[in-house]
Amino acid sequence: MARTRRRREAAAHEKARLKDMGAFETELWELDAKCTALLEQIRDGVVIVQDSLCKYANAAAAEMMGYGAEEIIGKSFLEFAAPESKESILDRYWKRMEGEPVPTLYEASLLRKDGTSFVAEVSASIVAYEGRRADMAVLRDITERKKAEETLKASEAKYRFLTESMTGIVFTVGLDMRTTYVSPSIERVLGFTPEERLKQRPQEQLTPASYKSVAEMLQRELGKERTPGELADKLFTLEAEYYHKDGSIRVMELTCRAIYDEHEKPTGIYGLCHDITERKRAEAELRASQEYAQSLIDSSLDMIISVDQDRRIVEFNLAAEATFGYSKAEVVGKHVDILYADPLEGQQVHKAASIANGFVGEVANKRKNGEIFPSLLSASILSDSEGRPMGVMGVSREITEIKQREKTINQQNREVAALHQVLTAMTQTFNLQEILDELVHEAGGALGSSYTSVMMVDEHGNLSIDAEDFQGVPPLSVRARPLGDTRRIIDTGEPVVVDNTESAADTNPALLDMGVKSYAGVPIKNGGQTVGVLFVHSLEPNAFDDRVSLLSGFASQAAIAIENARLYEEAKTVAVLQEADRLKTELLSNVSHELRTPLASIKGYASSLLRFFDRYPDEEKIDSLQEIDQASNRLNDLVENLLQMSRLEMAGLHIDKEPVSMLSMIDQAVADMEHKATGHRFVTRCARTVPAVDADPNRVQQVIDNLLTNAVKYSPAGTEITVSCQADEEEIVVSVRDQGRGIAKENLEKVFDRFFQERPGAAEGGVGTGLGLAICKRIVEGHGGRIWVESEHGKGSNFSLTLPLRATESDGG
Amino acid sequence: MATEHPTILVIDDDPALRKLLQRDLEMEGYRVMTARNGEMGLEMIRSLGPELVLLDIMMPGMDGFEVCERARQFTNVPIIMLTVKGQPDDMVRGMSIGATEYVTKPFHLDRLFDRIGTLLAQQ
Repeated sequence: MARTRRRREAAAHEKARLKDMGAFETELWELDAKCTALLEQIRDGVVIVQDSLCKYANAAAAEMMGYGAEEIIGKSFLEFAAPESKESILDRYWKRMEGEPVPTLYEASLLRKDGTSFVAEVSASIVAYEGRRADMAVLRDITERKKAEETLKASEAKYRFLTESMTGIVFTVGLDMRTTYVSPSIERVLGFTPEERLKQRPQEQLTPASYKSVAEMLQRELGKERTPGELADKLFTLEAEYYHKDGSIRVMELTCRAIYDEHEKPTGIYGLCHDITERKRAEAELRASQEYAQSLIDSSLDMIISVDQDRRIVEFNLAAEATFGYSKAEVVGKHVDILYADPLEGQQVHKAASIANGFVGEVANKRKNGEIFPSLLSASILSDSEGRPMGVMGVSREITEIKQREKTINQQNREVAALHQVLTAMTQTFNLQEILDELVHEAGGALGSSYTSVMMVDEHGNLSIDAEDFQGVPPLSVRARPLGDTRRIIDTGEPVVVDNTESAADTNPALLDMGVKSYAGVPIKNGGQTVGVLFVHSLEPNAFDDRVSLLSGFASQAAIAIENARLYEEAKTVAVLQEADRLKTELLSNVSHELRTPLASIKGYASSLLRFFDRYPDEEKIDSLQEIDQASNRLNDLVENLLQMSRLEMAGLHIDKEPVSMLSMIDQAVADMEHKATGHRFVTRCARTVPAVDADPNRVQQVIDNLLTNAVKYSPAGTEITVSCQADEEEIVVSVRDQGRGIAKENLEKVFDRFFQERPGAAEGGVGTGLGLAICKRIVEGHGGRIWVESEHGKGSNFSLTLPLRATESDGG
Repeated sequence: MATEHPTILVIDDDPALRKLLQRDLEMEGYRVMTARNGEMGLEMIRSLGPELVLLDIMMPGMDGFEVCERARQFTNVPIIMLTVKGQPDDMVRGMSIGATEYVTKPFHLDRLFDRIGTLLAQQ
């Protein structure tokens, strides 16, 4: 049988092989107990198989397989083989049984108890076990190693894939520039298959310019023979433009090496070429954008300056040149500090720009000529493509004009505010002095004047300084201002500006002493007429040359307020005059009435005497004459009163003081009044003694009489009139109380006013000129005393007066 | 309706003038009554019905204008207003409220008696 023959052959082979292999299987050796114990210690799994059944498994094998050792024993070894390995294991077994040589080391996938598989390296040998031949397999788990091998294989595959799919084209060309080989990748890059390529002439492959340059290069590189010893591997690169099958042009970078024959003669070149069209385009774009950036920098109206990490100037554009006055060549490489007024500020800007969000702000720069100017700078860090800081770039603009404009606007705002303020303040008062004080204060403040003054022209054309304001100079009035400037302003109505007192001929020495270097004066005009002059003075020259319009603004505002004040005063004067006129008219009316009442009696009785002289008996005639006499007296009193009041009004009160006993004066007055038999009851309630007062007795008598007369006049007959007199340490108080109808509350103050009569002509035969109490008030106050009235309408009046006491003297009542 | 002894009412707050007018008018043959203020005078005009009234304007309390105005509500008795008020507007006012004559103080007695006689004759 073929099978038997094969086995025999196999056994023969096996013997021969075993002889060769030596080491493990030179002879059978019996595993004894000692060996078994040893086997238990080793880390490799050991399984002994006899008659296809597992006879022994050591602990490591059991662990590797996930079984207990006893579970393995008695089982077919094949049970532990993974399906994919069963066949190879059987095959090997059969081969070995047939005597065919089999490798002693092989790999097999084995199953664990839990169903998972692992790859084991199996080292098989034949041993004697229990006196019989057996197979011993030493197992080692190589799953991890296999995994690593697989990974490596996968990466190799990847590598192969990459090689095959790379954009590079490998080619060889002959001396005639015809392609002799080209890798398939050409199709992906240029659209042609290698077959198509080999048929093309070089002129078809390359643009004319590239054809020319490639040809020249080949000629140069290949035209020379290689001398022995020269480095064989001389690479050369060039760029060339190739046609794509679709007609577009691709830029290729060629890296080539000459091919030489055994005689060191060049036969062509081989090389690798890459499509660098995109790279070229990117480069071109980059270049373009760099150029664009540069042109932007150059044409920017803003200054663009960049510095390196050491703060040395790198970029300095045209605007910077124009502004700073340096040329780019002058400053490049120089320290940026030269551009700053204060180098410290430059350092701070650099520091701020280098961190965080950069620096934006105002800085003080310095021109080549040393001039300092403000600029607005925005600076930020400049990094290379890797993000490494290269320096700082700043964009800035000179803002001198803006600052100036800002300053002007601020100033204008302040001026408008000041004008508004002065107008508001001045229109809140009709007091001329307050207006002028406000004017010099506000105008001076708005114009930065050290000394501000207002001179007013009075109705006689005289000038006076009416208000002054001093700021930072001693408040010494410049009274001696020469009339030159002021007169000129008043006469012409035009402002005067002196820009520099040093070159002016006739400056007031007092102003020079004050340190005034320039001043300006404007007219305060009212209806075309100059009513005053407003002056401002500065300790600086040229302080007001462009401020005259503002100053005039103040002056015209002031003129309005001044005119208002004047009108107000005028109106007030008119009102006072009108009131005085009204009172005079009233007086005339009253006086005329009061004068004509006694006159009517006089004339009446006189004409009666004439008419009835023969018919009246003598006693009637005498009565008429007496009436005439009394009326004449009343008339005389009235005239006297008027004259006295008139004198008081015109020249004031003349008082001849001497010690006066008030008690006796009161007694006399009451006695006189009782004698007139008015029908009133008189009561005196006086302290037993009061000190003598230092007074004019005639005047005081007049006051007492007047108060008594009034009491009689304004209270009905039969009522009581009480006169009282007390004194304390300082003054003596006299009161006259009646029980008449009293005085309305609103008239309590007015009764002492000149010409006031609560009820004109109130009393029969009364004086009623409205002068009595006015005269009393003047007399009492002339003595340093007071006079007042307490009254409730309908309940009588109580007139009181005080006279200051002579300190030491007193008199008995 | 002049009677032999017409009654004349004198209203004036000046006692000297009152006394004078009473004495002299009686001497002329008139019956004379006097009132020293307006309230009293108005009441006497109403209750006694005088043939003629001499009325002062400037008096305490009710003045002559008011007396005249009120009297005109019930009588057409001739009223001669006697006053120191010489201003034209006072005179106009006096007339407008019904005063018959307007004589300013100081007056000449003869002329006043002429006016009184004329007015009473017209009655």
